[in-house]
Amino acid sequence: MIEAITAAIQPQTLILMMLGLVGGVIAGALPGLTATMSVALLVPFTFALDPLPGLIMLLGIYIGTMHGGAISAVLINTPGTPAAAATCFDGYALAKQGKASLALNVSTLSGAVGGIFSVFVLMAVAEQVAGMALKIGYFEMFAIALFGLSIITSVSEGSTAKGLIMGALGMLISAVGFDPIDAFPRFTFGNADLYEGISYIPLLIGVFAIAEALEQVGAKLQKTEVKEKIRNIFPSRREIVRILPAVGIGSIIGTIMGAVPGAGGDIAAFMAYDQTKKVSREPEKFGKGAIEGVAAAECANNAVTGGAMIPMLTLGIPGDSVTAVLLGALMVHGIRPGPRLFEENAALVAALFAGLLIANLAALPVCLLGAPLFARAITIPRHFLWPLVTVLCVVGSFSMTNSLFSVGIMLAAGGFGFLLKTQKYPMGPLVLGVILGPIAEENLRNAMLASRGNFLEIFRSPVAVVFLLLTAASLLLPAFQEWKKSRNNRNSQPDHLE
Amino acid sequence: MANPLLKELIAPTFFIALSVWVWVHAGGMPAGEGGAPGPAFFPRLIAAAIGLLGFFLLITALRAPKTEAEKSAPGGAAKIIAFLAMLTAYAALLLPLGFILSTFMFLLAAAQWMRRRGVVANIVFSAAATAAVYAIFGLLLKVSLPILPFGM
Repeated sequence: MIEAITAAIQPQTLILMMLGLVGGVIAGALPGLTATMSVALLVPFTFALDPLPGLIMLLGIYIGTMHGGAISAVLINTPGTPAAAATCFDGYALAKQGKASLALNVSTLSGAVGGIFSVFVLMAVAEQVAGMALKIGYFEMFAIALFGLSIITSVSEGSTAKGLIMGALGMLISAVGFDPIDAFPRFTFGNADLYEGISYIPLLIGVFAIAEALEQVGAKLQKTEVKEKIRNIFPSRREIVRILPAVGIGSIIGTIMGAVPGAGGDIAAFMAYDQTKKVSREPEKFGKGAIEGVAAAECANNAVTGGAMIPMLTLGIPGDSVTAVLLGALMVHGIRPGPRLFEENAALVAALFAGLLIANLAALPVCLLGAPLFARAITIPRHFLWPLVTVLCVVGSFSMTNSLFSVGIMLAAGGFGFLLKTQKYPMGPLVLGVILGPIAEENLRNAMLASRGNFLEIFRSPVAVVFLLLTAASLLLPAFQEWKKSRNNRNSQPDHLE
Repeated sequence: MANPLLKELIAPTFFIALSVWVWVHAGGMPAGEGGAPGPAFFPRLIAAAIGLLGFFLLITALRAPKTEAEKSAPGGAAKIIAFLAMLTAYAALLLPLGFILSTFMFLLAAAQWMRRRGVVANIVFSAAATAAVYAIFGLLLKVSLPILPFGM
């Protein structure tokens, strides 16, 4: 391990890592630039570098974008990366209360803990965890996706029915394009741009950023004042104790979901948020500025970074889209991920682990020191900020496909999202539906194909049964709590009416 | 002031209409084979869910007690439509005018329209922001942007 750390802290490697980290935070904070895009854009630049510094720089970007996504989520209610979508719920609420710095520092600290935790898990159990992840088949993945969809009831503010309908709408949107099993074009109307489906990044930018921008533009122009002095506001000892359960839950869920191929930071963040809310003594505070909500989401989406490396390094299967790009980068450098990697390139693997650990630690000073500067962005006059945000949205969406079609999707989603927001339809469930719909459909249909149409085969899988039970609990618990609450209200009514 | 009940009914009605359309459209997709559901299965399942939920929301809205319409900012709807039109025009002009010119013009027009005072500050901000976005996206991150008009 000493040799590995020594290799990872060579000056050139450290400089490239820091550049990647700072660049990643900036890219992550900008709506439209995803971790996948940022890493993919830098891959060609690493060809001229040695494998280790090049790969560590890419890892720096990966970690930086995970941290950076929280910045715009907190300051302007727009996730910088899809993985930060759940951070918007409480992060923006805290910013409106003048606690943006606190929210940013909680997200940095929680994210760092989650990232470091996942690296230690990666180092300790890489092969064993990857072996377990490989055993997850179609029915199991379908059950996991169903469980993910069931948490719509928790992330819906207000009407559960409105949340569920938005989730269903998200799943319908994800059905546009070639059918995943038979490649039959669905809802494409002969438009080639729709064959690959509606890219959910422009959709995400539209329903979050554009819809918010329209709301801001339509509101009375008021100067945004931040009542608290912008400075490093660290959580108090009491607040740290409060967020400990959230950090614990986020670390575990994020690492596990990172190791499950196909699941990513966004799913992990929503799951961790939901579970933290369920165990909280004050669940009603979630969505209104609960630091536990920020901590859970950010911890989980950062913990995914180490978890996603597990199947990628040990089996050659990417844990998420970023590791899919990293897989390509490794192969370009002549390194083939898989079980043999640990035998043939043990030193490189160890150095990568060390680099990942150091990058997570380095993220702390970068983000903590930069927090007061980033938090000042909220005082930028609205007639400057929101047009600039929409420019970033247009540029980010355009850069996805180098065509205006994605921009059109973004604008349409923004207008539609704004109209629904005025009627209190939440956007979070829409995003969940878009992400999980294809996973649920593809795995269910493959499972039915493999079992010759016998759905009852699902009950032969313990993993699937566990997730089905969790789904049932997730759906029934809010209804039970609501019933209990109304029963208590009835019991506390006076015996006679005046 | 728009009737709040009418506004509450629009979305559920839209969702019900959408579910019917999806159900009918999915009917033209091939059936599944070998016991597995075909391409129409999921869209129809989702359409049924949307239809039922839409119907539930419609009934809920009709049965809800009448409320006063929320007061919105004066001219709010007009501002939103105008901004959306400017944004659409910006996207449409991105390729013909190139990134630098179209972005500068949009930022200046939007800032000036949102707050008519401080023309010089608006010009300086628009130029600086355009340069910064180009530096970050075009130069640092090497995103392919149509810098010059008509792809020159």
